[in-house]
Amino acid sequence: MIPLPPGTAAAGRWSPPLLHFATAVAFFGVFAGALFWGHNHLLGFDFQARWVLGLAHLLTLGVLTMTMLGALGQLLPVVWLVPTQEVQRWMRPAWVLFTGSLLVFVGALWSGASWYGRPAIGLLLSLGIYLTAFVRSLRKVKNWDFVALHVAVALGYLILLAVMGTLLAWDQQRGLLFSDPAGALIAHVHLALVGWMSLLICGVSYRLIPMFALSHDEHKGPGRAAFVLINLGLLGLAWDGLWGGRRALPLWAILLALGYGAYAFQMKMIFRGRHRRLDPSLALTVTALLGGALWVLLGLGLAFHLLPNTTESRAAYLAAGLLGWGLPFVLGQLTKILPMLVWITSFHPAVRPAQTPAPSTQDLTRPALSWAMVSLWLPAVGGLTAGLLLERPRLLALGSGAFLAIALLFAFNAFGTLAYTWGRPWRPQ
Amino acid sequence: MTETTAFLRDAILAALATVIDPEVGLDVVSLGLIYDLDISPEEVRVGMTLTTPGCPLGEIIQTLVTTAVRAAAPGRTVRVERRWDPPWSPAMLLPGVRP
Repeated sequence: MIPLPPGTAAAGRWSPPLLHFATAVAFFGVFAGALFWGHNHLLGFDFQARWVLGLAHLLTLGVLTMTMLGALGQLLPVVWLVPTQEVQRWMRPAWVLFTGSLLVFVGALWSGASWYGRPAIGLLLSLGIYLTAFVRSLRKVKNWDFVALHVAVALGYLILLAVMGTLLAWDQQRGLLFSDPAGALIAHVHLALVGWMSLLICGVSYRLIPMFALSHDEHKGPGRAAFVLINLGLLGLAWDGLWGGRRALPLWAILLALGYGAYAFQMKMIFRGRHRRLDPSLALTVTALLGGALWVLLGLGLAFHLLPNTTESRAAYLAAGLLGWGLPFVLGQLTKILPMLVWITSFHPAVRPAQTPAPSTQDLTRPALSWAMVSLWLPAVGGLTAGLLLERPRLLALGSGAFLAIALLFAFNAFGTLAYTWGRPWRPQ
Repeated sequence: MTETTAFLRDAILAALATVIDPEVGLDVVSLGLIYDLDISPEEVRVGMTLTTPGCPLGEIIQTLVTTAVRAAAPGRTVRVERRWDPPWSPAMLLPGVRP
């Protein structure tokens, strides 16, 4: 009898990472539906508008953070050879608390309830459970490499931004803690987008993209420069937003832009050395790199007052960061990892009878749907950012409609793959 | 190398050629993952690597290699050891193989 690898769920039962990925796909559908339904609210709003806050947290917590937490549960054991059980032991209860708190939080925001800050405490507690499990396992890492450093620092920023977000929600009606609430919001948003999301993406991409592209360039010089520049820019920006009166924003913007440039150069080196054709996963990564460049340009435009200082311009900047950079990267890796985990769950030799042919992981997905999704990214991000910058409702309808189509295609493909975990998929039809 | 050992070596390599990396879609021999193969009357020792140390399918591929060798060399103890030195690179693909 061939044993199951530690931490692998039996067929039909989703492992904690699979559970997180499936939830993220569902939240992406809800987010895209809400964005399309309410795209007219995107003009003439302010960042304290409950509908926008709910939408933003549905994306950042429900889709991006949910995927990243699931990915860490899978990545930490295999990359750093720490026990899977230890990393994943607390992920199910943390997932219940995190998902429940997020649903109540967004529901309270959208229904106009005054107590919406309370479920933020549940979110904070659940993140504390995840972090405790991850940090305990990070302590056991023997090979403390460049990628582990990114993960550890990103987790540190996650703690900071979660505490700060809870304090912001508590202080909104009171005005006791933050003398410059707009500056504090800038700090919170950038701790999330740059410190948590982007640094984790950078670190993970140095590990995953060479693996998926069969590109083994060991030279990490630009990546190291990116790490230093991004951290300097972010810490400076957060300090300036909280206590510095936002006087040096152009300087921090330049440091962050240089950091992104160094990261993009590192990724170019990895892609140049690849030995595999461009598949949907890698194409989504390239899309993310282009979206990241747009995000950086809009950030420089805002910092140097080349763009009008309107809520719509700032929303365009955030849309480029979240939907142009973070989301395609995360979905690109899911496109590859989800079939792998389903393969392990349902086609591992321990659960499949001998002599039964196993499919490839590629056979568990529909690449045509993934390519359709990739092709929709330009009208989606282009429509939303241009619609916000030019304040054109029709462009917003185009962008949000394209995102809804992307979400539906992704959900159809992902749940089609997940369906292989039910029953006995290896049985000849 | 005796004729019997050479025959067994070919049989083991043929068995390993049926072990497919489910993500790349190529067998472990074509990928150049098998570094060495030591055959003694009691034991078969396989030195192999993975395309990357963090491969989520690594443990499964190693299990499949063990199973394939055991089937090709019944009665012998099979020991599969993972090696990271030298690290795998695309230069180790067999000539003409394109993932």
